[in-house]
Amino acid sequence: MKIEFTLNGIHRVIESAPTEPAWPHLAEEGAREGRCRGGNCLRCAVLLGDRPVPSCILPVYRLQGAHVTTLVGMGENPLFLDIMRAFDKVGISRCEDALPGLVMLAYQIISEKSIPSDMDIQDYSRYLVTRCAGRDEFERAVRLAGRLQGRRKADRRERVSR
Amino acid sequence: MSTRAGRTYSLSTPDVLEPATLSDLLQILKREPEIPIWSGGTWWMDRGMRRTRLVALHGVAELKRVVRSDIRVDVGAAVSVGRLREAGGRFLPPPLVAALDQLGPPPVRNLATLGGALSIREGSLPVAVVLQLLDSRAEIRRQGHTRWASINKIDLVPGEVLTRIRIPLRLRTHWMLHHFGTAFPISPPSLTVAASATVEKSSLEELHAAILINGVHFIRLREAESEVVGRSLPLTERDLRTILGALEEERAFRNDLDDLGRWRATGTLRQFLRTL
Ligand SMILES: Cc1cc2nc3c(=O)[nH]c(=O)nc-3n(C[C@H](O)[C@H](O)[C@H](O)COP(=O)(O)OP(=O)(O)OC[C@H]3O[C@@H](n4cnc5c(N)ncnc54)[C@H](O)[C@@H]3O)c2cc1C
Ligand code: FES
Repeated sequence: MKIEFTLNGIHRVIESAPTEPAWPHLAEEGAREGRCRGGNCLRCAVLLGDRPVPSCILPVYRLQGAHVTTLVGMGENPLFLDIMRAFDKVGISRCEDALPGLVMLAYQIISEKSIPSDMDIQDYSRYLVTRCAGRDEFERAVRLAGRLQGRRKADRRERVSR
Repeated sequence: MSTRAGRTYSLSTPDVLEPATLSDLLQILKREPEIPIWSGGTWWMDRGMRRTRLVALHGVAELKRVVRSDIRVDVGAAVSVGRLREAGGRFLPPPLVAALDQLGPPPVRNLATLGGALSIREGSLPVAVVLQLLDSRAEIRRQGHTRWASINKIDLVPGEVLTRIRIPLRLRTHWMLHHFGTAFPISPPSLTVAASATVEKSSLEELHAAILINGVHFIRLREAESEVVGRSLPLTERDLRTILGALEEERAFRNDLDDLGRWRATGTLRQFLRTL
């Protein structure tokens, strides 16, 4: 099956059986190889449109016409920048193995909830499968990133109303 | 190629049929009743099932709607759990929100759909127990025919597709949801216990309890529930015995649970009834 999609802003055409996992086709643009191959460790997570998904259980046919972004392609995304700033501030290591899962979980919490409650954050952090960041550190970083994002939005609103 | 909402994709390839409307989907299923249906695809992919030909639901507009009135919400079968959670967080019954949050890691929930969660042939997931508790019903269609089934009796036959889930939006003052056993609920041993109640002026207006054993045996205690409705609160030891006795008489409770499972089922239900 011929599949056309956009990966980190670049148009791609691939040939694949429809239900093969998407991951190998995204790997050279930064999708990490995970360990579980079953949607649990989240190392292979990418954005499909604006939603994080595990690329190991994303069937290739779902790429047709889609916009996919790996961590490498998120460089200019304001929420991503806030998350990285918060991770640095809290001291979460930029371990390449764990980062995609951590960032994608944080990305989803904040984009879903704007200002997530402690309960929301705890609910999501139980899916962390890494020793590179403790739940406590992760929860602090998400809270901080949520605040940074909130401030950014407020600044933008103020600029527009002026 | 067609463009809808900024997304461009081929409507059909020889391998993957991607109908854009329900009527196209029903025609495909009439022509090829045995064709595999892929919704979020997470169940298929997690089990390493590969298919060269399939019908995909993610482009069917009618299956992606959430329609809400004061008394109920109709959820299209191909609405992703993530989107449903986000759109419905404020109006969906709290036990359902809790069950949606347990359908796998958040990125999996962005792919998984409610229709997919209810159509797994190997058994039922805990979310099905909660939907049953809430008296939800599933709409099942095939070309020229529609039927409504309760959540524990979906029993799809080739050519049929689950199209929407109708969830009543009644206020409940108390609820609980407990899941024991494997993270993957269909592999035994597993046990889900859910209950909800409405209490008004110290009297029990409504009580529902539902139990799922090993992902295959559903228990509802309708008769016992109606016996204790109207009682003043707190419930007496005799009222508790009415409910728990009915549970203990269920064949699946006796045969398909071990001692620990039976203790957990009665214990959680007893604790819930005592909090009313
Ligand atoms: C990593 C991981 C962790 C998970 N953890 C949990 C957990 O903790 N608790 C839990 O309850 N579940 C868990 N799950 C299971 C998950 O909830 C299901 O895989 C998901 O709900 C299935 O939905 P889907 O849309 O992806 O279904 P699909 O994979 O698309 O389909 C599932 C089945 O239903 C059929 N089907 C789908 N839609 C329809 C329809 N509309 N009409 C007729 N047939 C249809 C398909 O043919 C297939 O047989 C987990 C899954 C993964 C991958
Ligand atoms: S490899 Fe673990 S989630 Fe994809």
